[in-house]
Amino acid sequence: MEFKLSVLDELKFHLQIAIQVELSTIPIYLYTYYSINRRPEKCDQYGPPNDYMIATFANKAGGTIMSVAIEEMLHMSLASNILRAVGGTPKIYGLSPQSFPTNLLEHRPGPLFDLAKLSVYQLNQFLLIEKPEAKDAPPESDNWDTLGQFYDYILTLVEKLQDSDFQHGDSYQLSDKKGSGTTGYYVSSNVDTIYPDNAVAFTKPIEKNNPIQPLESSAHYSNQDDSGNLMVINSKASAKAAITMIKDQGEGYNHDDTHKPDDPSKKEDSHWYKFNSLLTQSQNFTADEWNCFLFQFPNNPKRANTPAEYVCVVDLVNAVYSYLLKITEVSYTLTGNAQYAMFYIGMHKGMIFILDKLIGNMRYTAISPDGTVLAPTFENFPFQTDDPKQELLALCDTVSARYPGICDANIAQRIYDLPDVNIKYTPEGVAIVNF
Amino acid sequence: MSTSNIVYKELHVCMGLNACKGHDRLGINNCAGTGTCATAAEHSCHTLNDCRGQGGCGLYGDGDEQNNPGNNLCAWQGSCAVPINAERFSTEGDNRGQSVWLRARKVFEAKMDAAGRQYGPSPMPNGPTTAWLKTNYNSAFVACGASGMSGGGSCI
Repeated sequence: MEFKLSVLDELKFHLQIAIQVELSTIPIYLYTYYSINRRPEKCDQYGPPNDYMIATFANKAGGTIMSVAIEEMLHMSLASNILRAVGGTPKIYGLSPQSFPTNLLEHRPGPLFDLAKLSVYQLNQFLLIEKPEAKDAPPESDNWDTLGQFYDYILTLVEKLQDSDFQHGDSYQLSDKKGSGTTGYYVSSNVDTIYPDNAVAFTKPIEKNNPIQPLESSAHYSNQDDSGNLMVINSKASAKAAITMIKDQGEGYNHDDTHKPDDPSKKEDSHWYKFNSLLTQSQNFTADEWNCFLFQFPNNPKRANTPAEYVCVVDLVNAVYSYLLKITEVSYTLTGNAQYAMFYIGMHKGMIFILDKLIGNMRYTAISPDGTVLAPTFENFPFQTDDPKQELLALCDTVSARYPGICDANIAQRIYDLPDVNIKYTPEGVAIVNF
Repeated sequence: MSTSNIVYKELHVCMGLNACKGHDRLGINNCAGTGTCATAAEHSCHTLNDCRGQGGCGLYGDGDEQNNPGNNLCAWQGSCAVPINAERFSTEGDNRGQSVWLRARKVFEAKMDAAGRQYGPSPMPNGPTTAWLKTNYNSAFVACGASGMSGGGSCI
């Protein structure tokens, strides 16, 4: 007997796959991002103007990759919002790729994507991830060639449903304005997504009567706030708008054959175009010049291959990464201020002040005579108890005691301040988020 | 400057943002708005402020947050580092591309005007530069982010 899913169930199935595809791109991009020293001092040896050219490229590469990574997080959240709208519950924790290299889920066999430092090869791999679909390409439910074709298939499913099918969970979605706070969950630009048009700006004296210059006039904003937002899904139209936004940010606005702009305003470039632009510029540098701004990250590091004395660091970083995925997943089960406390406080603290700082610190530790440094492995951490925060704190204590330069007292305090994902409820059934 | 024996009468996020005489970091300023530096706990970035009104601004956070430096509603809702170096510009919202410290001063002046209070000029009309903060406040002062575009260095 043939078992056939309803359209609604098929949509839920494919949205969960979309969530995992978007999730799998995040460690790939972040790993390459952290391989870059955006303010490299070693490049000074090449003298002007080469040193400025190299430093400008390094900072641009970092800002560009971070700008894309942030939008991949947006895409994962939008796919989760649509799934919540149709009555599903997004699964995120434990579903990051367990090892690298990895293919993207349901992608046709062939391409394998590495955790690797920045290189011409890695930029070409990024272009494969963001590859624009051909104009006559058919929608593909699996064995897909481009992500655009996969999302086209999801659009065909959305089209078959009614508005009422998308009205099962507004309040559980992550959106721009939540809780009693006035602040939003998603912001397109920050100090890490911007970069100077020319690194020489760092060497110029500040203007006495306008100290934000010369840096401000040199600032390039990779992302624009009109390009996309964390929208609530409650109709077919909003679901289609979200999916179109995801597609266009990646491969470019589909009415423009250059694949450059990601929407009609043409203020922001697509992911594909951003990476292609970096690839073009990357051809200008020698191997030695590349090395002056790169940390010597290994390809596809694994906990199992990590020198024993550093396994605790890898475990802590994996645990923090996994805990953040847990926070995201749990946030989709909460509403109002409980969700706000969990997601806003947890993710902002966790991403910017814990994960970012731990990885930023660990990469200064050489682990082999050839100069290879300690790098994140982005593996799912298997929490053993129903109190993962206590496990996180225990790991933090171990690393702080052995390597205070990697996990200092400030980071330890921030881990302590993270919300507890082990949710407690009042007798009335109201979730209480402690942090 | 040694401030270890001073009990702060008010917590504010930077130079020129104190509400009363004697409310700056050294407790010696003559007038509102003329204090030399922050009394709120120094912190390097987004969501690390201890309480209401103690967040800086400019490098992370949404447009509303970045439009209200030193005026956040609650702990952990501040947009960015305290104190606010003069080189810092907002990265999001209506103040994008403009001085964070000048925005903080404008918010401060609006609150003082609403309260019918007088205030004096800031010791530095555009706020304290990173060089001034390193010399007079904390030699290890750093603002956040990896790009260096904060004008206060990089924190990774």
